[in-house]
Amino acid sequence: MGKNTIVPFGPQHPVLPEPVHLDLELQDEKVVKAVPSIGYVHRGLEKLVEKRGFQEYVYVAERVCGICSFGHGWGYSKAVEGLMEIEVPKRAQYLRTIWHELSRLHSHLLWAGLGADGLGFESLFMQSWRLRETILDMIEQTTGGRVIFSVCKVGGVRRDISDADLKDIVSRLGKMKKDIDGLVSLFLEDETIHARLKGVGTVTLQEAKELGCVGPTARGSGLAQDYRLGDEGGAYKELGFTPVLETDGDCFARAKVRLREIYQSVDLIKACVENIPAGDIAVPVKGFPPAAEYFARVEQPRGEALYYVKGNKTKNLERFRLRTPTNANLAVLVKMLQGCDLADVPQIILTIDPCISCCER
Amino acid sequence: MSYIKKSPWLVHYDGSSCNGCDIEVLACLTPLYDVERFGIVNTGNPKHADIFLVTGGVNNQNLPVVRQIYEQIPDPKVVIAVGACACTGGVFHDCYNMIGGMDKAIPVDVYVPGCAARPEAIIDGVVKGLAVLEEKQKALAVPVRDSRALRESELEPGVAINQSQEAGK
Amino acid sequence: MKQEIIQVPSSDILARAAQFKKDGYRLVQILCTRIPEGYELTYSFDRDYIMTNMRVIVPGEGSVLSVTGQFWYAFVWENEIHDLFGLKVECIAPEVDYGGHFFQLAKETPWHELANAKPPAAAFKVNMRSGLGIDATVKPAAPNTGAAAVKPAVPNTGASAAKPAEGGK
Repeated sequence: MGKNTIVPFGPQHPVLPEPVHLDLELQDEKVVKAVPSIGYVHRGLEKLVEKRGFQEYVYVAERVCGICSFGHGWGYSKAVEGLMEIEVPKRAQYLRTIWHELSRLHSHLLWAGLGADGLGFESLFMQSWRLRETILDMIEQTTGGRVIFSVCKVGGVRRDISDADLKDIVSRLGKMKKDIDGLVSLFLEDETIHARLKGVGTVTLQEAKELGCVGPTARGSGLAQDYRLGDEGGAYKELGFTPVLETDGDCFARAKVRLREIYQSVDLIKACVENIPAGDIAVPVKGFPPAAEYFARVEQPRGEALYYVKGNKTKNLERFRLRTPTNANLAVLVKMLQGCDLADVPQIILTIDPCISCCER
Repeated sequence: MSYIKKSPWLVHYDGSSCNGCDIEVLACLTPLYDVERFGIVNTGNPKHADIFLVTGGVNNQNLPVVRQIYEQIPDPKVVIAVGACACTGGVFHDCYNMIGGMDKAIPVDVYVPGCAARPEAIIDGVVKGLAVLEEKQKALAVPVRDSRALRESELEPGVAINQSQEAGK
Repeated sequence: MKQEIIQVPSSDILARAAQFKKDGYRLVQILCTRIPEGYELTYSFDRDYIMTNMRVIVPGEGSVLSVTGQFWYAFVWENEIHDLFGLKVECIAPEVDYGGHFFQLAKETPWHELANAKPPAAAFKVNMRSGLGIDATVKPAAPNTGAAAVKPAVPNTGASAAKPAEGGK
């Protein structure tokens, strides 16, 4: 055994679309310790609530992250609605669910692409992103934006989706099925992918519980934790829904969870379109948030996110706190990297689907 | 595509952004937009690059990183700031941990607006950047080889070789 | 959603955390808010999608014990609280105690000031478009002290001096 070497990983690294830095302590090729250090993207968004009005802040909340953008806007709105005791119209809840699931689709396809690229499987990366463009098209058709939608607001949503557009979404999702099948079967059956992902970065159910994992990372280890089940805002409870679970806990299981969730999201969108009630899409918001506090949670593509708001009877909120899924998954990442090969590090980092700008806010 | 004289390689760094622009930059590479058909390659190595594509604003921690990448790119180089944050700091301009747009750290040649900047806009920005690159090349007194000059310079040594071969006979 | 908050004296944190862990709860997050009396810490625990919150008030000069013994992953938030608020968290598990280097910020403990206290005339103004005046505007405190220290005779050359140098590139 040679003496330990420390290899810096990031912030500018070809597999990382975002800057994160890890100090990897190596013993030969094995990682014995990984120390993440963050702050490259820290902006201090939570403090901006003191400068922006509570309704205006939705725009900032959406820009916490460009991938889970809609979820952040929704989570923030939900927290403020809870604080001000605003009842959101049913139709708005369904519309939010549709957009949220569309953004889950685009996020998972984006992840599939990045994951494949990290493996060196470039054509699969291109295929995933080609499919993702169809989803982005639907999003653009209904909201006007591609990655930042700006349709959520406190009290409801800003735009309605016409019946024709809803039908169009369903038919386009139907046409996509063949492509998705192809992508998923390639992912699940390809030998090279098995060789790279199976048995790598394993997290047992017990570890997942002890390390506070959230989202697909937790579900890949068999931890049935999906906040859509406990959701008080969207249409999930009415539509019925069981979280996708895998039990192996390795990189492959986490990939499988995300791929199966693609189908689940498609089904949820179809169910939403079938059951969407008519009615208002927003209620007017009067007055300022009371001097109280409220916690709200949303299941983001990457896991559960928590939003906390505290009002003080003025236009500005006193405190806003956001605990994002990547923030909760940092601990498990540190554990996963211990004992892995240096060459597997990018893969393991990618399978928690890190979103650094979420994480650092 | 005769107006493009060079296949520009670019290096991308995400500053302090929401990564919305970031994924749009990646989207440019993928089949719908496919900038690789223009010979544009996204490289991970700054020393291979002509164009530095930055998204997001600059803060104290990424400032040295951005500067370092910039300095590693060989001259002539072009910096393209993609998105509102890279241009001015955008929606985050008055956050406590933001210094501002990328021009606070390195000289920026082309500003691409938008939040998030659309892939079309990014490609347009890169094309504009190419014009800047060409000017910089001229300023550096590296002659831009137009096709005729190139042909002549290639022909002459060939002719010389033939002559020497004949002389050797 | 029920929003249950239990007030707890700060000496009880560890005992309570141990109890929550025994009961099968998961620590969702630790929230810190600056209040006139000091800091208000809220630990959120979740079991079966029902959240219970434990609230502790820590006086301004006080410190708090780490719960990393029970919930190891709390180090993310405890280090964050230390770096952003300046509240001392004692006995964080040694392998994940960053000792104040988790976040590297432009401004030390930016959340330490009270939220509603008027900020002292905005720490620094972001100059939105100062062209290429790079070095002079990067560090908030630098323009006056730094530039003046280097060239005491010409105090305001920072921005203008940088321009021609960049133009040449």
